[in-house]
Amino acid sequence: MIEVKNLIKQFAGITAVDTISFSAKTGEIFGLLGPNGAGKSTAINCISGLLKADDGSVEINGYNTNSDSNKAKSSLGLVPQELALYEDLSAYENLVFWGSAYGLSGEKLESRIQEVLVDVGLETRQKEPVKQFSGGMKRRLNFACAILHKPAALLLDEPTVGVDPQSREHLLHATLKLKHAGTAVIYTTHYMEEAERLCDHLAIMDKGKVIAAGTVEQLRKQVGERDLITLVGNYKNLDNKQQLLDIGAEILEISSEEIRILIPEASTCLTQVLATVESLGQVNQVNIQQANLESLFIKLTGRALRDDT
Amino acid sequence: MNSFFSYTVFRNTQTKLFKEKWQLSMWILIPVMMAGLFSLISGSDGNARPVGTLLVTDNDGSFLSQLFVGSFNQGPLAEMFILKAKTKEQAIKIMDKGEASVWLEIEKDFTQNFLDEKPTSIKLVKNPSQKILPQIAETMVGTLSDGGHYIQLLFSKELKQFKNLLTGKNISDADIALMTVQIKHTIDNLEDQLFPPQIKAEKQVVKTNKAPSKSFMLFMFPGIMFMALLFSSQGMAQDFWKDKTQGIISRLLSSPVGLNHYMIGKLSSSAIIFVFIAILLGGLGLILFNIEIKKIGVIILWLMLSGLALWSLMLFLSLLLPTEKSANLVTQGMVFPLMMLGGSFFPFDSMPKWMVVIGEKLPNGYLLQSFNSWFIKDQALSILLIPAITALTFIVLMFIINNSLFAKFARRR
Repeated sequence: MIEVKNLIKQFAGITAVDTISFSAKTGEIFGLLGPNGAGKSTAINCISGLLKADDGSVEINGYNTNSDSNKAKSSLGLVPQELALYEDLSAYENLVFWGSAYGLSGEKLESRIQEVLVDVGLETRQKEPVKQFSGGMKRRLNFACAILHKPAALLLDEPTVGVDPQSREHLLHATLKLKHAGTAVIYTTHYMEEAERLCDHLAIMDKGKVIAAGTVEQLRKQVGERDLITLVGNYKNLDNKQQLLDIGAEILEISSEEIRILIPEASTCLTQVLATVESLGQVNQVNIQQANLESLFIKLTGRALRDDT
Repeated sequence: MNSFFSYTVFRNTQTKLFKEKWQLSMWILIPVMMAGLFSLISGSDGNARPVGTLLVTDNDGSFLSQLFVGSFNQGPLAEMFILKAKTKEQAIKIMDKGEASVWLEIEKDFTQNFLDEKPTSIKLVKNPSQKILPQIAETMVGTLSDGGHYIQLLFSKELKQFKNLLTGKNISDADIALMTVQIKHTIDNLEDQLFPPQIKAEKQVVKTNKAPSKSFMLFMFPGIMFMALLFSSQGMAQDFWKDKTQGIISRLLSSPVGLNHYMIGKLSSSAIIFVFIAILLGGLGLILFNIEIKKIGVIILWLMLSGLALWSLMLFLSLLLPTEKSANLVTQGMVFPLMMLGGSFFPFDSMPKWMVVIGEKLPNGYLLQSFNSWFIKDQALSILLIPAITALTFIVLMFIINNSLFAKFARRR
């Protein structure tokens, strides 16, 4: 189990992580969702010990990371966002190195290396230098290095960024396998599909704060059974927005170039919506999405999840 | 658990290093190549022998003018100058092109004027782009002129008789015998002034056990080894930055293993590389300079110790600097001044005194000078004891400092 309480981290007066609390129980995947710069990686780095938190506490498998640092670290596996591999060495040599960092040696280490290589599908490539691997293969090896010592808790910081579909599937499958084996997992991503597929509980982060938390279902309910309609165009009469509210729409965002609304059963009332919006200006493009975490994020922040700002 | 991790760090570092064969080779080849070049420039015994061209235009062509020119063909001067007889026009062209060091032109009636005690001249033209050889030629011409002047003063009467001999006038055997006796008497009379026995010197041959004189390359040899240590210590200290940019060091912070075990692994790896370099260079010394085999053990230990001291220093700087690029620039920039001042480029014996004073205070200079006392000057091995203790203390102290810097280095973003 991983328990984070009131974690704070500042850099030069800027609060990157602002009093966040959450927990991942045994056999559970807890997702941290948010755009780039939301504070997810900083939170992960504080939990793993790569950064020293300014305040708050972290417990891993019952061990406080400050007072019982070594035991906490022994119970934790980390898959950092940036690769941590010796490019000149083989996959096998990298695994020996990281295994030894967690106290594994001899036959135990050898058998675990072969197990994790199978888990990530690299058993036939183990003797090759890492620099010859594709980006996806490196990510899989990076993952394998973190699970060698069978950690009770695992931190995965955007493990699927920039990987091919095959590697991505390997990683997601391996993560679910760990969950079923009883590992508490914290998984950060800005891919909502991954979060919806993997996570039992989620926290949505923005600007260092948790702005929403709960199960996927609980979060969906916050959006309601409504669809997200995005209307791109050229709008001049924004004062007429009351007309949108009158037809039962919830306005998430409105500007001279884009209008985003939530509305129940968009397919049945699309004609009415278009007629109303045309009274504000010219509509060039319409996009309808089912309510999801993306809609919730837009509802809460007014921005898309994959915005870099 | 931690010792196995240190061993893994050690093994990985070795594997990486031996995969980069060029880097490893360069650490050894560059010093050896530089020493070879020094040897070619300086000659096998280290004494520089500049060789220049001396043009001679002998307009007189007499016995005396040839005797004068011939003095440049005697003794050490013969090794410095290649004499070439040229006409005036040819000599001017060659000098204009800067292809000769000196041009000597002897006037037409040189001998006649000398014997007649009239003024005579020798023209000396120097190449302005050269310094040493024209100066030597000028000094030689000056010395010969002075000599000629004194001969005129002391033997004017004999010279006149000698002139008659040269001009083919009939001289009797009695006159020649008289001329010889006069010269002898003049020398006898002047003996006290010419050779005053102011200090009576007694020559004694003292038997010593001193070894035959050592070659220049042997003097250079310890410097070459230290040059290799400087290159390799810089390269291996930089390896910390390579590991950092590959994300290894940051990730280690999340593992239970202490960072000091990583440091121990790196230290051990560096020690083995220094031993490897010492064996290679020691072997080379064994072949080229017939170094006594019993000395090899001490050479290996000393190079390992010195290498670790230099590695600690380079690592200290690398860990302090904010980026890989700056660390690389600064440590590489330090290598050459350390080599030049610390006796690796030039043996301390051939360096200016002020430079030696600075060089001996540098870590590499101090360790090299101490080593030379035993290796070159054949002092007792005990001479290395205090420097060895100093080096060990330095390594331990730097390990503690570097270990504390390393934690901050690992957390640096």
